[in-house]
Amino acid sequence: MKTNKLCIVLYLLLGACVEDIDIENKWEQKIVVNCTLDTSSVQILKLTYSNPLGVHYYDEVETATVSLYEDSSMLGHFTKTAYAHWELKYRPRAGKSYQLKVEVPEHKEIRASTTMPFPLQISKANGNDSGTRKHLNQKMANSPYWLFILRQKKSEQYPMNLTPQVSASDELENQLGTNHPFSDHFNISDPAESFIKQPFDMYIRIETPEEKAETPHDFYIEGRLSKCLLFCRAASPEYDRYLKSSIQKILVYEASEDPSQWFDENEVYSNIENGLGIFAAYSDHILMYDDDWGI
Amino acid sequence: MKERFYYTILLVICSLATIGQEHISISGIVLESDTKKAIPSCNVIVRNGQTRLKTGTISQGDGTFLIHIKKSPGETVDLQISHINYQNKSIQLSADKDQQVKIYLKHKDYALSNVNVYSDHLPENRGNVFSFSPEQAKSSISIAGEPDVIRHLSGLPGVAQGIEGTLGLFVRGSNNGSNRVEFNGVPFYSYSHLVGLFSAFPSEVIKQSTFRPGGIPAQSGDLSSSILQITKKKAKADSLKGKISLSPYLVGAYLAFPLKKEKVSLQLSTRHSILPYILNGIADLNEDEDVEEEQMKAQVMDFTAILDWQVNQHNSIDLMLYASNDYFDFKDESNQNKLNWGSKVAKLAWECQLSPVLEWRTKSYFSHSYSARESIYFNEYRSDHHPESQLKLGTKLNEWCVNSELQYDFTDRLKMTTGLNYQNRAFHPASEKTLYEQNSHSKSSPDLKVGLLAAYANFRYHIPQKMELMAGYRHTIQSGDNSSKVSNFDLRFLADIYLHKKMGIELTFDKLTQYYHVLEGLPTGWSLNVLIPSSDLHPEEVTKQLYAGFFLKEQQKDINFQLTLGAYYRKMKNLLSYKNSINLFGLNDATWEDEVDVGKGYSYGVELSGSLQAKKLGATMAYTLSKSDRKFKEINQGKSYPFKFDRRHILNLQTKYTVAEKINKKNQKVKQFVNAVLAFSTGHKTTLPVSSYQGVLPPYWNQRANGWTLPIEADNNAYHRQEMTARNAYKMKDYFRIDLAYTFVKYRKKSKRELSISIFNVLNRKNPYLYFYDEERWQQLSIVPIMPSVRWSLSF
Repeated sequence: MKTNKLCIVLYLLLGACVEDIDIENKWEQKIVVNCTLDTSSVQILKLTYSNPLGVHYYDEVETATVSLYEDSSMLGHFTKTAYAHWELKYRPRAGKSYQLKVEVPEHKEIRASTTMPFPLQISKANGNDSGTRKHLNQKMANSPYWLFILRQKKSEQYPMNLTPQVSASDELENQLGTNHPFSDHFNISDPAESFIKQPFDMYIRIETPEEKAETPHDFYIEGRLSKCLLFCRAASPEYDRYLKSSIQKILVYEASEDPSQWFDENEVYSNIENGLGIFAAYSDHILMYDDDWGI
Repeated sequence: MKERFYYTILLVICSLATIGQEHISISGIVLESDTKKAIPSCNVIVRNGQTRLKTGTISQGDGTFLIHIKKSPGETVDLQISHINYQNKSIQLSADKDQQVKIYLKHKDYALSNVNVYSDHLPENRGNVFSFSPEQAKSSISIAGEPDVIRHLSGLPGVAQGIEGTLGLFVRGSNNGSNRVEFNGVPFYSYSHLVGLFSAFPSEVIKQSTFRPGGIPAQSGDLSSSILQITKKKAKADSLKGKISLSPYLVGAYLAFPLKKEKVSLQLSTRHSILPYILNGIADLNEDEDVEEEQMKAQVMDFTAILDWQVNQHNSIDLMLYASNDYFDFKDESNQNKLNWGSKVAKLAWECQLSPVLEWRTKSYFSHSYSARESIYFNEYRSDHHPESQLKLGTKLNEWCVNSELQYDFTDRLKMTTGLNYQNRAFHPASEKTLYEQNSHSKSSPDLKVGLLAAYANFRYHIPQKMELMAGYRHTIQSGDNSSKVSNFDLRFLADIYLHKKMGIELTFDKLTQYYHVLEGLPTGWSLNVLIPSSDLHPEEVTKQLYAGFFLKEQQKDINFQLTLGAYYRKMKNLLSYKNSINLFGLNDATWEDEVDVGKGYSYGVELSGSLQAKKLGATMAYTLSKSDRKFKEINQGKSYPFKFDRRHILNLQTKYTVAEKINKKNQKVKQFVNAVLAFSTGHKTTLPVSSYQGVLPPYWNQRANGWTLPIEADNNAYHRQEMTARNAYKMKDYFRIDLAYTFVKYRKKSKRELSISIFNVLNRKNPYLYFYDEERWQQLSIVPIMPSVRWSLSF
């Protein structure tokens, strides 16, 4: 915990005073669009309204026309299938640009765009792998990408299906490490609580400089990796910025009662014109490890 | 008409007769020994054998004088100079040829003598120069009750203060870290005590402070906003002087004494805050109450030693040692948090009068500045409570410098100063992580070494009451780690043109370059900032500024009045800012580079200042109307936004009224006076959350491992998003404060006692430090409520 008791003491020392105030309410209701395209055959979109600060139940947008375009050609309309839940059957293609248009009566037209990233070319590499360290080879990475691990707890049977499948009982690994030269240190965690020398909180962000994107890199990751799925998620610039800024915001509140949180001015990235939310894309490449079966 | 003609003929004949008697001329200039400023209105007399007055005159506005005396081969005469504010001086001259002399007078010691100063601005103040003594700085009532020359700046035009009550000073829309603060010719990068509430310079060793937001001479470089030059007091080398002061915040002692009479003097000053001892006492009490493992330690101190050696009439040497330290430490069973900042400085300077018109000055200093926040985590499962890891954040700067300059007086009006300056710096910015038991994996940022060489020339042409022109050029070359060789030039220009004896116009232009950046974690002026050198990635800050103004001085009987009015436009580039300062303050980033963006700034405004000085009443006023914006590629979606301290209106009023000045029954002189300060400014800007909306969870967030819990606020921010206002789009409540002080001074034969009772923020107005949303409601934090203080001092 990073509770900054020292700050509290200093404030008390100065006779600091905290009092309730009324501040001018600048809130106005806006339409919130959340849609992250992926490589599955059905794309999902959430359409809600924003609320006053601190109200966390969101009204759905009941009537809207939501259209998806690929390189400016219309692909189709999303259909509302559940509360605030809209779907479109379509599998985006790598390298293509997508535009989203949302028309809601009595509101300005909402627009956003993104690009589907190419899948990462990362593979298992030869090395002295152990249950806590796995070696990898990055052949090419044209976009920023994210690494995270789902530790598989279920089934001692030989995996019949070698296609990685996520189970509800899988657990997101808390801390993982890497020696990748282009890892982003923004979420490095407290090393005292881990066997990893330089642990990252749950996710590792890697952004290879453009000039080195096509240069192969050997690196390793660390964690409890004896039986897991390693996700290598190629991100569109919008997804990358959204995810990083979201995690940064979460990290500010990682410690309880830390007065430095009062200075929080972090804004989570949004690319929705005339609204809020995110329209982005990612592409997963999953590597499976099971030391028991030598996979 | 005829009468005038005869008169002229008579004068010519008399003049010819005088020339026929073979006269010599004694001409020269009278200057202040410390500042080298000309002293007008000195009595200059020439005596033969200390008895017979030969002739005399008064020095002119530019300090010059000219006397003709009869040539007397083989004889000497005494040239005696006196002035009410300066120590008398006498020199022997040969009377057989023309003489040109330069006379330096030492200031009489105001702080320890019976002199009262009413005014807050000296008569020479114009729109870009403000000079004040520590005595005058008292008119700005400080939290600590001490004269505070840094806090006094907040009452000057063009200066916006930072967050409530702190010493952050934002001059003409620039960053706090763009100001240069020099004490005795040495730049200080860390100069505040107690989280930025008061400055680390003791008033006892200060003679004068001069603040320039523009028209800055070329001798001063490596800054991009303003300069505050604090000059040291020169102790009398013939007697013992001292001072003791006590207040709830600081206890100070000052001693000045001769080491060799008339030649060498030493000043020692030290100040300690007693607040930490109170804190330590509270911590001790807690221990008694079985609050195990919680410990609090704190220290606030500064120490200054200055040695002045008047080697002979032409040579003087000064040596300074300075140290300040603020240290706060809180420890419990699981971790330890420390805050620490301060400076250590050693300086040696030599001044040499090579001829009446040529002076050589050289100095060298070493300074070590540091600020750090350190967190140590303990292994709770080990019985010896061994530290398992360490995390540091902050900066360290080691700098040594050699400076050598020549001042040559072409004429009494035209002077040139030229010099070379070399600075060698080693910056150690950013965070550091260490695992005590895995040292091979420790990570530490390397030192960034930079060399900075500057050559400069500054010309000054001055005709008193008519004009003052200043033009300066400074060329700088930097090379070092992470930086290609960079070469830049600065230009400085100032013109004061008198339209009339009492009024004139002032024009200035400055191109300023700063070769380091200050990353402010919290914009408070608190020294807990990160200093980094300019580099290819973060180029040097450059400011261009234009100022045009008008000044007026009026003197009638016992009343002095002056007014300045001017407008400025300032353009800043290569400014550095955290994208979100909280990310670094909260120790979430391992490297500062990740959170830094390079951008631009613009600022313009109108400044008005006035001062009134009467026999019993002194009052000053400063008003600023200004606007300041920033533009960064990765902040506010690349759109221009208001600077955090873009305060539209700033008004400061200060008054000092002498209630009584009399001789009491014990035949002791007694003085009583009151001070009042009014400070108003538009509220500073902030970014606030305005609404909540649904977010997209980070991947597989709901499948986090059992037992890996986060506080509810963190989890909320995974599921929900906060819509924020545009950057700095919210204006906080206006700042308003009234301070009052009463001072009683009693003079004894050899000592002076002073008792000051001051109340900072007498209305107990809760000015906003920040707004925050917590527990489903908006709250305001104020850190400086009504703060009474008592200060007692004894000077001898």
